[in-house]
Amino acid sequence: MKAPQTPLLEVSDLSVTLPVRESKLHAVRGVSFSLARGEALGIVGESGSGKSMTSLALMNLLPKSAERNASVLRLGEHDLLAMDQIEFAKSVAARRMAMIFQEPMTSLNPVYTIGRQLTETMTIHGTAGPKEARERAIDLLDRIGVPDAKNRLAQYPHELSGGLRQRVMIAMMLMNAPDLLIADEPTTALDVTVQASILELLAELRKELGMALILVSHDLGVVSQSVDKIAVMYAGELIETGTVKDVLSSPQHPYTRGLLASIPAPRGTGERLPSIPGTVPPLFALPSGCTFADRCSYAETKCRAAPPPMQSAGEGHLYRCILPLNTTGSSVRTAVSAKSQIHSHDNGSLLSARNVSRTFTVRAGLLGKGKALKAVDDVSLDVAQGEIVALVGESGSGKSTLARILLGLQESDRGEVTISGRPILSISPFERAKLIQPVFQDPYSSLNPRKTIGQTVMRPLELHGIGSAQDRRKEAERVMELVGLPRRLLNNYPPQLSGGQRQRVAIARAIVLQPKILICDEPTSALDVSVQAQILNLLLDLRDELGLSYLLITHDLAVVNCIATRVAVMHRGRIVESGEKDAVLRTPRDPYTQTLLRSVQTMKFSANPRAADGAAGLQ
Amino acid sequence: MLRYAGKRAILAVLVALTVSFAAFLLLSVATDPAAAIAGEGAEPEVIEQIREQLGLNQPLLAQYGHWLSAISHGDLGTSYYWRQPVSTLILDHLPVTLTLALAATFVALIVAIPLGTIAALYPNSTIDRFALTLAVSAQATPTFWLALMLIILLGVIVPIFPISGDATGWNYVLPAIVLGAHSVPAIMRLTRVGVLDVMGSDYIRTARAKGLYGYRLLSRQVMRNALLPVVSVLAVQLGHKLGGSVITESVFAMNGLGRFALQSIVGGDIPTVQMLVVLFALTFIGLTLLADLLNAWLDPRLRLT
Amino acid sequence: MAMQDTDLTVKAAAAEASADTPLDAPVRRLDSWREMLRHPGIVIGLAILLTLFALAIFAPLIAPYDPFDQQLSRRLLPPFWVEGGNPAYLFGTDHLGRDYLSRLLYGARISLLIGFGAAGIGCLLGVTLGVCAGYFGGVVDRVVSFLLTCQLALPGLLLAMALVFLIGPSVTVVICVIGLLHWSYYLVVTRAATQKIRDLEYVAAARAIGSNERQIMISEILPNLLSEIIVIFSLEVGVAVLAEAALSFLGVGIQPPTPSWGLMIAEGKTSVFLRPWLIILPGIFIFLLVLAANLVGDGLRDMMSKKSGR
Repeated sequence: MKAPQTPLLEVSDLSVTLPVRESKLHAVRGVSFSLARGEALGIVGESGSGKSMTSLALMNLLPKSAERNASVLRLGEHDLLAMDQIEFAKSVAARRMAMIFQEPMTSLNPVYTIGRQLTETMTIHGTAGPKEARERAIDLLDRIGVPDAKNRLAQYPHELSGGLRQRVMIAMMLMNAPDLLIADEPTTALDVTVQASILELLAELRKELGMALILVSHDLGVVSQSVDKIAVMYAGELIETGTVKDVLSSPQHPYTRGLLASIPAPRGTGERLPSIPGTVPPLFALPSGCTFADRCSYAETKCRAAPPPMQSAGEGHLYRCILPLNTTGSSVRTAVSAKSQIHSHDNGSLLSARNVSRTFTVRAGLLGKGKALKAVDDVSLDVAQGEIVALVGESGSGKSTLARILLGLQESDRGEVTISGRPILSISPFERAKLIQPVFQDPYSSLNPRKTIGQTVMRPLELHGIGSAQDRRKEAERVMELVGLPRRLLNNYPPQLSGGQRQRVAIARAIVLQPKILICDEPTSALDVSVQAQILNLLLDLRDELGLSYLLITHDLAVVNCIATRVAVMHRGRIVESGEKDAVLRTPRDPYTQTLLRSVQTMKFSANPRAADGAAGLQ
Repeated sequence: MLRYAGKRAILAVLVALTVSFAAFLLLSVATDPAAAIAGEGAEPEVIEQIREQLGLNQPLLAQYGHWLSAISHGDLGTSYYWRQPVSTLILDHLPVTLTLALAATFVALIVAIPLGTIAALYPNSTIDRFALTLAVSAQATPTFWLALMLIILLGVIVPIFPISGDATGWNYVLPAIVLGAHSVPAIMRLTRVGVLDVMGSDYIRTARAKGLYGYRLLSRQVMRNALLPVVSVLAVQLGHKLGGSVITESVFAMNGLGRFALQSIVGGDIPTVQMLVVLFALTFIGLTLLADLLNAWLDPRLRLT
Repeated sequence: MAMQDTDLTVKAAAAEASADTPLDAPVRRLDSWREMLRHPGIVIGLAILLTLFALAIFAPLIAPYDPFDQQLSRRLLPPFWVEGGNPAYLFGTDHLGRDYLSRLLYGARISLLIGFGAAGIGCLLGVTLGVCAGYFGGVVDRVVSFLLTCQLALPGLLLAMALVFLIGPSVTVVICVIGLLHWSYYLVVTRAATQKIRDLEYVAAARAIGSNERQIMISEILPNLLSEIIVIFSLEVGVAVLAEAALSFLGVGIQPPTPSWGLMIAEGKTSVFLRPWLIILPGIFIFLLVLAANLVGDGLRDMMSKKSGR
């Protein structure tokens, strides 16, 4: 590991353009960085930032129509720019540089055994014969924590869990002991507890093998735990780069500050999260100024005049902003003034579940025998007026089934659900609709693509025969305003809206009948951090203005910590722990809750107060 | 795997029973076989007598029962039009149809799969456009018209192949092309879409990250996945060829089951037509069962269900 | 060998880039006629279809002669471009001395009627069964799937021939028989699509606001199947036209003297070497009609698959 002067990977002025319809999308522009042997770099950005395109560009995996340009692209002694596809495939791919992907479910070929796919990495390169490759595969799987490695080789991908598949994927890419591993969102598709173990494994392997690592993620928490350097990307550009400590504790770029501040953290009642307005712009034309200017509250005319050059804020800490933030960043807190209403939850429970159970019979095929699966097992839960109760659990914990039962969309086998003391099954669908409404996770599938926003928001009124067409239109306009959407969107179709906007429409549809409770099933988990903050703020605002109560179903403890009043933790169909938020999160009693809390990737360096001030100023 | 095969087989038997009943019912209700046997202008008493003889005055379900039990004993009945046992007739005509169907499937395969694969590897290229144009044209060309055009072109203007009969192997060339052309579009499109989908899948990205490229990527990782759906369609196409050779056999005057079926229909020979419908359906069921099992062998995910 | 990565990755990248794109970026609206009219296949297909429709509707005005009028003295005249042709009979006459052009024009009526009629019957059956099976699942789905398996196993052409001939060939019978035997494609596609939509969150949201099953099927699910149904419909029109032509050609479909293209080819078959135009001309008409239907169907499917990449 001598000669630190020559970096392992050197990237200079990397740009990627993609043809989209008649225009050109400048997905990556002028990205430069370098990486020493054994070093780990985290590339962070929201969707559309170009982070994935950057990693695909390094691995020669861009779509054929994409155009890659760079002034330097060098891995060790290999000049990647001078290599064609075949040379790259023969001498670099999986030998010197390897890559793992986000989706462990689809990234392995379903029709071949694990063993074949593992050994192939060596046999195709001729680095080992079939027999040696097999031995190496077993060794690696053993090392990586795959139990019973020898017998696994004969298994097919669908026989393994998501976490195991991701381990197999890692093993497959490490067969030839590459110098650099690129991990593109390696844990995003996994449950929190599994996520932690995969990240740990990557860190260990890196040290053991002296391998460099590029970790691409949208999650600052994930990245800060496992890397030495961070590069923040925004709209195709690298806007800030430096050591983890530099970037997280003294962020220079307003976007980095905003991003850090948007991460949900515990707050006082009624206090809102700082959020960055708007969304990442797509770049169909090369920008004439700073790409962030439109969302930046500091922006001046000179920001829009020319693309800002990189500035230095100390050794190796670079950022792309021409305003000296340290002086302008006054400590003006412009957080939305809290209408500090008192939310008493002693006036009885609004929504209540008592000993609710639901068992499914899982049948294999037409004539298969049924197998009982307890999705919800003896669950009791209460939501009082003005409360935000968080129901926390990983995938498969039964939380979504419980949500459907609470909404009256599915019957329970045993137990009873009551709203304001009345059994839910005795309430007619129409009446029920005026008491309780859902907000779902996926902003893409929660709106009918064939209906305009106006039709979607007015549909409940129409169905219930409320008011004339004009009245309904007026009501829709009022609700749109309430959820922070411009009226003009009423005539648009869902595909024309951004994810955050769609989630606002879904909320508008839910509140138009003026229900008392909203059941929000992962309302922000499909959204970027900065948009997530906007939606969480909206939920808080609506609670204050309309006196709504929420049951918030989520896997994200940061969100819980941020806005919940009470917490219930669900595991394998049962509620294993519940209570006031602070009590559950600070002194968890149940072992599962403890594991869950330990798995959360907390920020390594908490943002200092000055950064938080700067971010607040963004609003 | 064994359980899967068992389940498929049970389903196949159920389908066979239902289909035979449907064939029996449809054709029995649609016509009056007794009147057909008696011939035009026969006395009502004569027709009634024939009806009694053949048991046609019994309830339909009872008739079906008799019919089925006779079949299960190997008695396919006697054709009153051809005045021969149906089983003999079928065996006489089977070889021609079987040869023709296999030859046509072979023609379709060697054209469709390579063309579909290449088209998928170079989307929007000249060869892709050519393949798609060929598919659309082949789909829009009536089989019998194509047959006649080939006869005019290759049989008369440039006489290379014989255009009538089934005496030699050469007689099968034009019919096989005609019948094969009919299934080229379906197989080619499916191959193209299959290869395109697989090439864009996450696991092929993984394979490329491993350093696979070119022919080796195609043979080691792409083709097996891409051709999975083709297996089922191939069975369907082969099945349809056995039943759909009516037109080709008629135009080229080949003594196969298709032309035999047409002659039986025109002759009003219901029992023979019923038996042929059932025979074709059973062949089809058998072929799809085979395809299901082949697919399960190729795709481990299917063995679970 | 340069391996082509599919445009899927491009789509994914474009989707990533435009996922959070509000109004100002180049946005496409669903159902845009303009976009359709830029697709060459759809334009050509629609042009042919509309022309054939016009010819069929205005046949009495356009056709120079009565298609049934036999002039035995003028039998088997060649078309005007062949030696011995008579300009008064542009496409010549058939073996009974009927004007070939007039018969071809009236033949368009039969083909279009049967094509659209049969495809319509199949559509009604297939979509109803498909949506019900997909939406309700369980026993309904199993029964419908079983029906489908049985239908696929039956030799369609043979059964159609037998039924049409035995019931008694007429245009109505041909439409009904072909329609009743061609619903499986609709069923397969709408069933799968319904299964997907059924589990989407906007259906759950519709239920939560109090919609009943019928309202959900009609107002939430059907509109989303419309474009797929139109695609299958246009492809099935082609299939039905070919089926009718085949039946008539074999003598078990439309009966003389009705002018049907398939039947005309059968009638001309005896003099295939002497007078090939008797076969070539009706064949071209069938080819054009089916080609047009397929071009429209393929083109729409093309556009849809591009859109679904979002």
